[in-house]
Amino acid sequence: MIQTRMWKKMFLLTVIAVGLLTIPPGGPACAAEDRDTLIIAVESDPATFDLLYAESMLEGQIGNNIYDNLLFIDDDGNIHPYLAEKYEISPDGLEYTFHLKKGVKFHNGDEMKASDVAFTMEYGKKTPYMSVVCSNINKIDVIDDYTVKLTLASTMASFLSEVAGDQFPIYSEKAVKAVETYGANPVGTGAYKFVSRKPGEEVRFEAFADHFQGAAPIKNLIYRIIPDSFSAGVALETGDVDFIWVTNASVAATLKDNKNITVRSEPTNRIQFIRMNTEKEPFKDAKLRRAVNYALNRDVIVETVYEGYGAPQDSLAIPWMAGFAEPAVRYSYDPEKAAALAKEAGVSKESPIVVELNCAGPTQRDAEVIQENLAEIGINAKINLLEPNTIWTYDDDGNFQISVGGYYMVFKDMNIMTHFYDSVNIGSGNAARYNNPKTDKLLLDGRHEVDPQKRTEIYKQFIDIVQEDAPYAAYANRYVIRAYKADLNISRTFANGIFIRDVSWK
Amino acid sequence: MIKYALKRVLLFILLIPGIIFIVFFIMDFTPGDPSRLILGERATLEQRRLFRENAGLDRSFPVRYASYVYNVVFKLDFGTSYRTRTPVIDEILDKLPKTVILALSGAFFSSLLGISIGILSAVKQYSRIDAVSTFAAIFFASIPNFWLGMTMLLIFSLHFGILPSTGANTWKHYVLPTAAITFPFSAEILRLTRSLMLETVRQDYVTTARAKGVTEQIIIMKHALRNAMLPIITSLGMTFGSLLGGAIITETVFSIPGLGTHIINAIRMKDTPIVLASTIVLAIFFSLIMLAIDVSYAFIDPRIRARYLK
Repeated sequence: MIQTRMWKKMFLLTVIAVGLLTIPPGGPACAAEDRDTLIIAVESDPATFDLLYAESMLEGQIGNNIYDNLLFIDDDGNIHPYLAEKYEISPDGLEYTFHLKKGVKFHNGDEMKASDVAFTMEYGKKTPYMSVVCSNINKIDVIDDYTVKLTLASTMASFLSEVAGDQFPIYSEKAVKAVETYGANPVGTGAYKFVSRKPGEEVRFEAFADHFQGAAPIKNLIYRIIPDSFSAGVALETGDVDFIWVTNASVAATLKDNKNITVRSEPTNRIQFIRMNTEKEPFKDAKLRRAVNYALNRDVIVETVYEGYGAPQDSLAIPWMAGFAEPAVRYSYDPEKAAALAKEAGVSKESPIVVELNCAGPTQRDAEVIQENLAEIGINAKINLLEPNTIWTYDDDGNFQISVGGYYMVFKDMNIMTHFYDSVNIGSGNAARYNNPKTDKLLLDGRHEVDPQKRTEIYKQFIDIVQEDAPYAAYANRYVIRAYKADLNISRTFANGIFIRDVSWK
Repeated sequence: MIKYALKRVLLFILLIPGIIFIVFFIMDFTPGDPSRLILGERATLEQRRLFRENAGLDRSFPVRYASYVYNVVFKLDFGTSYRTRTPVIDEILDKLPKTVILALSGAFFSSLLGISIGILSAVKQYSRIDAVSTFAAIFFASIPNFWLGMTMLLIFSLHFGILPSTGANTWKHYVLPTAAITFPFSAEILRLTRSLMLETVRQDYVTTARAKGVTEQIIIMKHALRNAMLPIITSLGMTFGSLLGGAIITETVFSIPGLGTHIINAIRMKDTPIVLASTIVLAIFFSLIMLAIDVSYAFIDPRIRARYLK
C-alpha cells in the first residue's frame, strides 16, 4: 500500500516536470529591449584600442567605430574622400596632397588638423600594422592646418587603398602624447566614443554627438565578451545580446530556425591553406607540393567542416585584390594527377612516407580531412594538435614539415603576397620559406608600378610561377557568419568590417 | 595553536619562490614567443626584438627569475601584462571576487546537500531514499560538467527565460553556475559522507551509546557525524581549492569573467606575468584553506586539540 502511494507520487512528480518543460517558452525575461543600445557578443577581449598595435580582426573591427580614415572604401571597392575633402597625386606618382575637411572634431573636442595626420604617419612608422606602408613615406609636409603633403620614397600602386583601409586611422597627436597607455584610452574622430572597459567582461561606447557626419542612430554600443560560441547563441536567443559573431557553424544551423534572428554569411578575406616547408624533405620537391594541391578535396572540407559556409580556394590571391591576374595553373581535386605527380617524386601508396602535420584546435577538423586526402597519394600524415602560438614558433623557425592555418588578407591588394612569398619574410610571414629571387624581383616591381595594366602583367608572371611552384596549398575561403536580431537594419557587407554608424533598429 | 599556524604561514612564504620557479620554468620552456603573439603576424623581426628588449625577455633565465622573485617578495610588484600593459595585480583583483563567490557558493551548497542527504541515506540504508540518492549521486558525478551547464542554460534561460544566460552582475547570474558546480560536487560529498557514516554507526561506541539509551538524533549528530567529519572536511577543502582555479568550464559556459578563464587565456597568449601572479594568488588561497582545515580539526576532534596544546 505504502509502496504504491510512493510510486504514484513519483509518477505525479515526473508528469509535472515533463509538463513544465513542454510549456511554450514564456519569452525572454532578461531581454534588453532597449532601442538606444546595441550589444554585440565577441569571443575574446580586445587587448588594445591602439589600432596600430592591433593583433586580431576583432580589434580592427572595434577600431572602425572609434577612428576614421582620410579616405573611405565602399562595398564595391571604390575609394572616396572621407576625412580628406579631396586629394591630388603628382604626375610622377610620388606626391600625395590631402586637403582635409574643416571642423572635424576628435572625441576630446579638439579639431583635427594636418599636424595630427602628420603625427599619425610618423607614429605609424614604428608600429607593426602601418610600418609596411608608412616606411615608404619619405617626407611629410604640413602645408597649412588643412593641407598635408606626403612624399613617397618610391611609387606605390596600393597606397590609396591602404590609406583607406582599416589600418590607417587618424590619431590625435595630443591624446596619444597625453597618456602612457594610449591603447586603453583611445581618442579618434569616429562615430563612437570610448566610455569604459571591464577586462574580460565588456567594453562600452557612446555615439559621438559631434561626428562630422552627424551622430550615429544607435546611442550606446556595448561589446560583451562571451567566450563560448554555444553560450553566445543562447544569449542571442534570450535577448541578452543583439548581435553575435558565429565561430561554430553548427550554432548557425540552430539559429537559422528562429524567425526573430537573421543569420548572414558572406565571403571574406579569410583564406585557409597548408604551408609546406620548402627547405625540408619531402616538400623540397615541387612535384610533391603540386601533388598535395591536386590531392585536396576542397569541396568536402567546405561541405563537412564548414557546413557550407565557405568556398573552395586554390590560390592565396583573391580576384578582388588590386593587381590580380588569373593564374595559368588552377588546382582542383584530381586524385589521378596527384598520384602521378607523387610517383614522380618517389611517393606512392605502395611506398608511402610519413610526415608530421601541425594544426591548432580550430583547424583540427580541416586537418583530419587533409590527412585522409594525403593518405590517398601515399603521404601518411601524423596530426600534431598544438596551441596556435606553438605552431607559429615552429613555423617561424622552419621546424616543421606541413602545417595548417589561415590568414585575413587585410590589404585588398596583391602587394600582400609579399607577406607569404618574399624571401625577406622567411622567419615570419613566409612560413613555407619560399626563396626565389625571380619572384622577389616581381613583387618589388609590382609594388612600385603605378600603371594598372603593367602591374597586372607583373603579377600575372608572379602568380604563374608561385602557383606552379606551390609552396602553399590554399583550400578554402572561410565565410564570416554573423547572427543578429531580425529587426536590425544592416545593409552593408561585412567584408570591410562592421560600421555601427550604418546600423539601425527597424 | 597560534604558534602552529604561524609556523605554517612562515613555511608557506618560503614556498613562494619555489612556486614561481616551477611556473617560470614551464612557461619558459614551452614553445611560443610572446612578441609574436602580442604584436601579431605583421610585426617585423626588428619590432619583435624591440618588444623582447622592453619586456626584459632578452635576459637569461636565472636573471629574469631572480629579478621577478625580488620584485614580488620585496616590492610586492607582480609586473605588468604583456598584452594589456596594465598592472597584473589589478586584473587579478578584478576577477578574483567572481571566482571566490562562485567557489564559496558552490562549496557551501555542495556540502549542505551532500552531507545532509549523505547522512539520511546512511541512516536509512537500503531504503528508497538511499537508492534514489545513490543513483542520483552516480548520475551527477558521471555526466560532464559542460553538458549539465549547457542543458540548464537551455532550460532555464532559453526555454523559461527566468535566469540570465551570461555575465556576473547580479545574484541571479550566479544561480545556474552555482547549480552546475553543486550537483557534481555534492554527489561526491554525498558518497563520501554515506560510506563514512555507515562505517561509524557500526562502531562499538555507537552501540554503547545506544545501550545507554541516548536518543537516535544525538547518536547520529554527535557520536557518529563528528567522527566521520574529518575526511569530509578535508575533501570539502580540496573541492573549494580546485574550484578556485578549476571552474574554467563553468566560467566559460556561463561567460563569467573569473580567474580560471583568465589564466587559461594568459597561458595561450604566453602572458607570463599574469600566469605567475595568478598562480601565486591561488596558491596562497589554497594554503590558507588547508591551514583552516587543519585548525578546524582541532575544534572537531579533542584528541588533535590535545596534541596541539602539548
